[in-house]
Amino acid sequence: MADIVVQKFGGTSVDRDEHRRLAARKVMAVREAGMRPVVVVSAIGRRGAPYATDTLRDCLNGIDPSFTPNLREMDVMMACGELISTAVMAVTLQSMGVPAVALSGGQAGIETDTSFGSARILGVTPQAILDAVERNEVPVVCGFQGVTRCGGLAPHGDITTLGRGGSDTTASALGAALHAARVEIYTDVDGVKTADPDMVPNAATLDVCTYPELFEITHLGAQVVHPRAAEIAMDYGIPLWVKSTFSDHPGTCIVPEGGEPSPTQSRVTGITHSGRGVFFRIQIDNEVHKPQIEQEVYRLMGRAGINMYMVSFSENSLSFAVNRDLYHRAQDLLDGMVVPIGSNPNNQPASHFYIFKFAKGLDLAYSAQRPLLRPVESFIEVVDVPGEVFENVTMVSVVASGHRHTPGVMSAIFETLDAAGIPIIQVADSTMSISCLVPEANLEQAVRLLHDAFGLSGTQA
Amino acid sequence: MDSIPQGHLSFERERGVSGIEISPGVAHLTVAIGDGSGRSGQLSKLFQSLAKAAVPIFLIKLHATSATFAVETASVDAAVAAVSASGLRAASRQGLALVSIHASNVRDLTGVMVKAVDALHEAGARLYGAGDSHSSIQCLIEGSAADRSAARLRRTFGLERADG
Repeated sequence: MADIVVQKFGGTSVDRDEHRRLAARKVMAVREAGMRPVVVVSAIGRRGAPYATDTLRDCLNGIDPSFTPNLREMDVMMACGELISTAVMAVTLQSMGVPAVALSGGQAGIETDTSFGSARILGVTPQAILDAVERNEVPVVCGFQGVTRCGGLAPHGDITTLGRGGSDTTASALGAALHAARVEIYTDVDGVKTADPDMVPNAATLDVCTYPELFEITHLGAQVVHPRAAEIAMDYGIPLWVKSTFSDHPGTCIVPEGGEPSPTQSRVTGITHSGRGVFFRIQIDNEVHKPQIEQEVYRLMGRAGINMYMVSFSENSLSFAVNRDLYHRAQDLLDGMVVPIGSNPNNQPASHFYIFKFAKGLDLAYSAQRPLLRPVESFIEVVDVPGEVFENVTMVSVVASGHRHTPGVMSAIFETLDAAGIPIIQVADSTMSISCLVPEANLEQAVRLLHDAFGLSGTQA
Repeated sequence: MDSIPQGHLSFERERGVSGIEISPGVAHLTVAIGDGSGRSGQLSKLFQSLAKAAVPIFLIKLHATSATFAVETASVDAAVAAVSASGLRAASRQGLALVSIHASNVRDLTGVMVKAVDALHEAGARLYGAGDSHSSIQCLIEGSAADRSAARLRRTFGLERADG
């Protein structure tokens, strides 16, 4: 419906009465403009607040630390946060003279699959919302939740939660189902910024940003809107705005590529940062056996559920990063790992044993295993595979649409960081960005320097 | 009141690998770089020289004693000349294809890389370079192996119907 505006308010926008009243005024402004608002809310506050999602999760986890709660029951618990928030927001609106009705995700018609904890929205039947709108009431819908679709083997109407970015995703899905004029995501910053304002106080707010730029910015660290929500808005052609509950700044309008207003085709949009990682570099000198050894590393990591990123090869090395939480697991798996390689394509019999060895102190398994291989050395070549570890690294990214057709972006990044003595440990690039792995100690400096180097202070796209 | 699409619209994209894309006509350049104190100066000269020559590069990787990157085949000569102008030497491998495995949030998915490498191995393709972003994994292989690799990857990730 061309006159519906979906407005989503995050946890900090509904965490106290004063903030809820500011949010309510944004809703009233839409009504005064002759449009019909549909409100989506997150749970109240962040970890530590009594009804925040993390607090509710901790409550079940705390029943017995040795027992892992069932995901279905966890979803019932976590859904309470939005239910409380919805009732509080609806009554706030009513107290300000705005007729409003609170709806759970299920009542709003949001149907999901049965992936408790990270359910995927399968469909939306928004009849209750439409009925409320028709009665001139403001529907206030729980973000982050839905119910399992009835029928088939799935249980009927079980409460599910949508996982990370769930409330943003609810807002976009409702926008798509209702053919809304626009979806407005309200947060505590004025819109999409050119860098994290905590690190770069003069980071500018973009007036306009394309969907691909937004995906890149959000995937690479900025938490202004979840990429799942942006994907739905883009796929269904729903105009998306990112605005602040706490200011009258017009916010950032997200547009399709080539849309109006049209940003420049090739530009640097922002500097982001993400992840706390550890980087491994493994030296494999035998070029013939290298692919098989690499394959064993991938298999080992895959079996252990360890995601590798920033993967790269040279003729004699393999390198990759893992999240720091998984560092010790990855290192334990690799230390002392033996890869037998055959002298013929069928690997029978083995002609080489490759054994992984890290620096002193990280080579406990190697030290124990290596002597055990001595008896076979007369007929099998045993080769050490030295590994290096770079701890405490993080990723800083330059979001630069069209950089693959605009020479010089990498040169500018390298010059800027090198001049400040910041080492670049590895690089990864996509069509929209160049990311550099740098020591975490240099992160803030790197973000600030790159922000200045690309002239982003005061940028208004 | 406008009619509303009922029931069975799927609002979210499928999770996991969503497509395989082949880009032929790619070359891979390896430039030997010292690992001592002159390393950053050499890298700086290299990137400056490529920028000055207006050569777009991608799949940029830094290794202990080398830097590698890819260019479109049409840019190979200019790239090699730019590397020479920076006082370094490039070895190029031509006739490669870039295989992109697209998946939303691929860095949060476990096992995509191992499945991809296994599939490429089964297709008889040698991997010369790899890269990743939040939305794809890219693998550089021989151009002659591109079609059978793409077919094997599509089978591995259940995309035979979606991607043809």
